Amino acid sequence: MEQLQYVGQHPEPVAMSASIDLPFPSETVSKKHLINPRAQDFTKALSEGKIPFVQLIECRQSVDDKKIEIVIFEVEVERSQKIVYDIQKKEKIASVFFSDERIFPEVLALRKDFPLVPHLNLRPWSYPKSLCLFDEPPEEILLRWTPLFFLERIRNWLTLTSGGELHREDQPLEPLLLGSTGSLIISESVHNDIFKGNIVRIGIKLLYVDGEKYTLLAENIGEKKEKGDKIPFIGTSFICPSKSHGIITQLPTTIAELNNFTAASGLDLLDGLRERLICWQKEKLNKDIMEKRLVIIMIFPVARRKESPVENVEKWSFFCDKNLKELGVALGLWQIKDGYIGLLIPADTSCNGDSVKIYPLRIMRSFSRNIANKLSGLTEKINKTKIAIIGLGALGSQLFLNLLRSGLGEWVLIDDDVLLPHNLARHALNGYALGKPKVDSLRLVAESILDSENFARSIRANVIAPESSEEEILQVFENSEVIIDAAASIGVSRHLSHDVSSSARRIAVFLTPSGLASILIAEDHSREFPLDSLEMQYYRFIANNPEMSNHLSRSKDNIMYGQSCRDVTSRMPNDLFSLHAAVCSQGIKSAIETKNSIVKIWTVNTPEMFVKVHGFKPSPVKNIKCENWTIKTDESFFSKIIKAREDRLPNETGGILIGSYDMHRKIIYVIDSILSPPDSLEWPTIYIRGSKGLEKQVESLKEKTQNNLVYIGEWHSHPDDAGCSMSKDDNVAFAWLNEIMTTAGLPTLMLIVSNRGQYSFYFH
Amino acid sequence: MHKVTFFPLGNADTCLVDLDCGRKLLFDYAHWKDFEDDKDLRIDLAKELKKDLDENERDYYDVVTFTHADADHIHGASEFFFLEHAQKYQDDDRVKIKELWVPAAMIIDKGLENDAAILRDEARYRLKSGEGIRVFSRPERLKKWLEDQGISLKDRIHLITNAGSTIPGFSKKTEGIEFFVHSPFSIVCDEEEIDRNEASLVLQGSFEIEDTETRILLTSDTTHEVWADIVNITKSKNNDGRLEWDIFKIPHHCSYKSLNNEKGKDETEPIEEVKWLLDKGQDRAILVSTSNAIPNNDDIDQPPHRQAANCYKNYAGKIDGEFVVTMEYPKKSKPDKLIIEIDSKGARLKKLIIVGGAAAIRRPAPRAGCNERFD
Repeated sequence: MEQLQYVGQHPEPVAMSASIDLPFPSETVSKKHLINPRAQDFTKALSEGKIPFVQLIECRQSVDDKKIEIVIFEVEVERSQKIVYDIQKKEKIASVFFSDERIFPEVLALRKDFPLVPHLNLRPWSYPKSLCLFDEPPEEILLRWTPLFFLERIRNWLTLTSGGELHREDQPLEPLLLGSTGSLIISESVHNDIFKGNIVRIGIKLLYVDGEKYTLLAENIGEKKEKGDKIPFIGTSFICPSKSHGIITQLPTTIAELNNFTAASGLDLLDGLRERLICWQKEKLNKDIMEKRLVIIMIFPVARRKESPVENVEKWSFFCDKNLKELGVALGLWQIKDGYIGLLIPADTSCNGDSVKIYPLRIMRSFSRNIANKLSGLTEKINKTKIAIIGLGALGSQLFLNLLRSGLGEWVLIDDDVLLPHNLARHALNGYALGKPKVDSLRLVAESILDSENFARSIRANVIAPESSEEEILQVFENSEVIIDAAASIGVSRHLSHDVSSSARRIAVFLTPSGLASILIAEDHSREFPLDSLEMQYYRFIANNPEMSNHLSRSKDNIMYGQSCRDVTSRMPNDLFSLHAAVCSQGIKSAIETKNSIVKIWTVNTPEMFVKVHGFKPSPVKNIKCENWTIKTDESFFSKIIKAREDRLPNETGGILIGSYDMHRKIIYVIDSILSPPDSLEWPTIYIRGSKGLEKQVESLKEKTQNNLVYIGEWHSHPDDAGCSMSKDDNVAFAWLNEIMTTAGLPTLMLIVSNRGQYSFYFH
Repeated sequence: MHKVTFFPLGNADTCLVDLDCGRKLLFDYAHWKDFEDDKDLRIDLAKELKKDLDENERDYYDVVTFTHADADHIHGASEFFFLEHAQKYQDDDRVKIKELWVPAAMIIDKGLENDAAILRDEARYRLKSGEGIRVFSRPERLKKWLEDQGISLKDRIHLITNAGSTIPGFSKKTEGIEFFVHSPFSIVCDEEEIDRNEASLVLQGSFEIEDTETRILLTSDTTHEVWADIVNITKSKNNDGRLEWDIFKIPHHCSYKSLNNEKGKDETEPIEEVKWLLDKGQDRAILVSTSNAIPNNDDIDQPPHRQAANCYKNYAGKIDGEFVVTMEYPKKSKPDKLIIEIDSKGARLKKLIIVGGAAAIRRPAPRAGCNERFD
């Protein structure tokens, strides 16, 4: 036993010959004769009678000189009423201790009809079944080994197995947990066909070979000849007639042994293989196929009882140590002479493949959208949201990959940039993509990560000047449910807000110039809170929140002409950037899950590195048409004005209007007011707005919002029941304002507010 | 950043110096606005200065200087400042003066009236109490006046600064500016009749930011004769640097008399010493004429004189500099504050376009409201 090695999670089969109860000869010994320290400890714990639900039966020792010691005991299993697998109230267990203490004890269920369940070690014997207790490597388990820990792990295994709970989503359900021969990854495109038995032959790529361990990939690549060397394996699958129990109860090592199992359930594997080999051999066009090795995929539908519906499908795969040419010889189909195949007619059916060794492969599903969803806890209701994303720079690319890995969305990537060396500081792409369009490379990355058809499309275009892609982009927008603006440009944001015809929700994400905060602005589902208005409310929020006074400021050494408030400093580490990308992609997910509009600001406090979140409930938007202009404002603005008016009654009051212009689209955003300055004169029918402190306040607003909030006009109140018509004084004041604003090429705006929520905008 | 501000006041001087360290220094105060006259384009100086103080949340200047006691340098000061010598000048909304700077003439001059007399009394009061004052030059008559008050010169000597020295309390390293006194010379005040222009204050301020020096010549109504004396003495002391300038406050509202006795036909030719002085202008320096708009004829005898303006303009041209007139800046039809910012790149004349909202909020809005409905 000294040579016995454990590789990976599961012990190699231990070669032992059958005895009365155990698969190796042993004899009963007194517990005093035990020499293995763990066996001693375990026996002692069990025999002291202090531990309930367990009963020591006997101790044994191997009769050879390998000093294997076996402790046999009975445990009581905690079970629910409803059980999935037939685990009985009391189970007799043998624990096998090896003299090499690095080897974890083998645990055998001694009941003759112990069921075939998940998480059994496959052994060359079919009785007794070997429980696979641990996922962790033995060297870690042994650190924590105590008799009770060991016992409880066994009991827990039995409990979970009785309820059918002992498996994780990322583990195969099969009771096949094998040694070291490798994995076969089945891609989404062929998975269903393979397991319905619709594929007789499939090319299998070799992804990697590490000594004797192979990682193979079966995907829908057809049998393209140019792939030649990359597909050194040919896969073929067989379906066995359904059976009431699992078929393979011990590990087959040759084709002949495998055939014994399948034959028992009515499938002549040898015949099936012969038939397929003959067919393939006749294909003149594909001569090198005979040089490839065969991977056999076995599908065993399992029913609880005969005639009852299939509840489970056992999937097995093996690769053969011989190529098809040699396989044909081993199956008596032909002989090889001077490298040429000479067919035997009839075939020599005495050649049963016992010379062809087979090695088990662990079957794994590729990383499909479903698996991605499950592993990232994404709800399925949003997983196929149609998303167009504009701007695949550092932020866009990183959050796209985050969302990609959770299998969210059907994407169209729109950007016109190519990847340049300095981008590598923060972009999700790597050096292989240098000089290439970012969108195309990201699409390829997406395809390589997620095994899902049509996950992402790419359009290389500038969304504002799309030229030949215009039609395509229009189509995309029309079909999208969500349009994400990650372009770090207010121009693009407004374009998406106003100039794009689509019912898709707009979601904007961007970073502040300092790189210390990220912002997510999401429209509501029915777009009653449009992106541009939400953006304005965001400015109002930061302008009025003392904590946000440096929110949009940039470092002084980095001032360039005409920088917008979404240009991020070029000096910013990727770790900080990734943090924002993570926060924003989470934000996008939750935005898509709710129907409401959302404005969130996440600020990173360095160097402590905690993220503080700010947000507010957007205020309902009001649009007022004025000549060919639109005044966009919201209820929160009016509440402020109305309250100011009421506070000063019976006097009139007023102030200046704060907001923003979109000169291109003829929009005035009326967002806020600096209320009556202290040197104003307020009388019941007269108001003279003072100017004390105004310049400073307006300057500070502009600074806090990077010039996004500016002076846009004047307002004052009228007394109760005086209405909102302009008086003579008002006309003079309007004329004064008009002269000033016209010089600047700006529209003139005056608001008069009276009681009962009456108001009038005067505009020129 | 330091800031120097001039104001459109007609032929009158007021210059506000804001130091980077936060101190505010005012040189002269001449409030002339005629509120009855719609066409008066002069700025409401009192309001402008108060607004600035309000915004900076203070009610005082660190230093207020009166270069001399002529009306175009002090008009309205007795209504604006909080004066310590008499209670009637002590309302709450008056602006306080931490330190008052005056030429000695303002202490000893007997022939003063109105604002000048009030300010003289304030200066005397402060000198007597030995606090909040600095006097420039030490003529015999000052000593005598002190003795008449029962104070020895020795006890006040620390409050007196002579021409040829720097002003205590200001250094390039700490306050970001050093002042060098060029005038008045003590001798001037010992003549029987004091010529206030000759006895007025001329300073060179030398700002420093990040090793860049920017010099301003703060003149008053300096005549070419005074210039000649200043230049000659400066040269004789090898103090040439003390007359270099980046900002030149043109003396006496752009009068030819600061250049030469002769006006000249179209351009005044400066006397040798003034030529030398004007040649000390550094590249892209700024010449500021605190005056009415430059006329295009000689109808009025008073400054500004177009010939003098042409001379200064020429000098500005030679050094790629600026010649600006307070009542013409930025536009003759709407003169406004003239601001010069000083940083590590030297002086920069601000050329702000103030329209739209920025213009609307500078001053109160016109009367609004539903007034006539209730007539």
